[in-house]
Amino acid sequence: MQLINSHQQLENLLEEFSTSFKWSNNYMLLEELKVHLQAEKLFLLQKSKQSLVLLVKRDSFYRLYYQTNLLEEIQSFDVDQAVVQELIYRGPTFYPQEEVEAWGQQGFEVHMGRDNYFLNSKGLVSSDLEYSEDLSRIKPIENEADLQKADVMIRTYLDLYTGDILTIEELRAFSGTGDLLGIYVENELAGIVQGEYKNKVYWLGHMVVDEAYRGQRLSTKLLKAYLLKGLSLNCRQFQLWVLRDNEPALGLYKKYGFKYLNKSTISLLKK
Amino acid sequence: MEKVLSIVELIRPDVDFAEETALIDDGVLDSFDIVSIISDLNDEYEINIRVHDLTPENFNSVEAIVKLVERKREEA
Repeated sequence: MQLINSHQQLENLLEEFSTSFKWSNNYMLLEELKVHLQAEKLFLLQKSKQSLVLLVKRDSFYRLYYQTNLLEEIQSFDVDQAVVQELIYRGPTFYPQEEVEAWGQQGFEVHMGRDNYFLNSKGLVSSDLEYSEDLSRIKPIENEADLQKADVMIRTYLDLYTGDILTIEELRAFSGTGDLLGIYVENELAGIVQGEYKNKVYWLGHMVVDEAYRGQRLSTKLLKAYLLKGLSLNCRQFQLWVLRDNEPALGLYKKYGFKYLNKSTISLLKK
Repeated sequence: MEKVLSIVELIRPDVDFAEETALIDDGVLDSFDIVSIISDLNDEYEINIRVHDLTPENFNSVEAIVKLVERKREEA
């Protein structure tokens, strides 16, 4: 494993890969790769004429990105932390069976599947999204104690390897832009929703309700608050990724008009 | 133009491609959409779009994508 530490090195690597690849989960644009390079988080794991395997360092694991014309050319490897990769595909017809099997031979196990849903903002009316604040109240999370609680909720209830778990610094940044909302029951933080405005899409990044407060339809209120926030930003569309087997969440999103975007991922994990 | 339009519409049926002129800059298409589009274009036109071609200016509009395809066909 070798740190990629210069733009020239990255450019040279990419230059060598003049062929299009039959198999890949590397959909990063050059600019995205450069961000990881500048942060000193981009590593070269394997390179040959037919294959390029890169790792990006996250908090407690690596994310793997590859492109290859020969799946059998990919070699077994060991690094100091868990490695996760997500294979993205266009709907069930294109499930990447060959790749899952090939990586399985290198010690990767199927971890979880996610689907991408969207909702166009056109036609959504703010008044339809109003919610009662009799028993609970939604407001931006601004103080450090609640940020820490939000961090614990995310790490307790969400998968650590899939969906880019937020660091506390990232949570602070979303708090700073008003994109981190909390739902409070008797002044206690009971759940959170975090959005992210990217160009004209307002993404639902993370939504969690503490186990002690489940069954009170708090997630419905959080979703409404998220949609209202997106409308206030004049977003063109809402998008989210949801675990395929999370039926309560799927039911909620569909109830509010979210539709499958014909895009799914399967994540593979090697511990 | 129409064939390219039908390829991209199949991949992202929720997008009005006739109206959009900043598909990448406005975040309408993500990099996975682009790779899906490239894969279909490579198959359809027997061209070879390279990693270095993955730039916003080549994919911001259907017109730009058509121009990229034309360049690649000339190179082939």
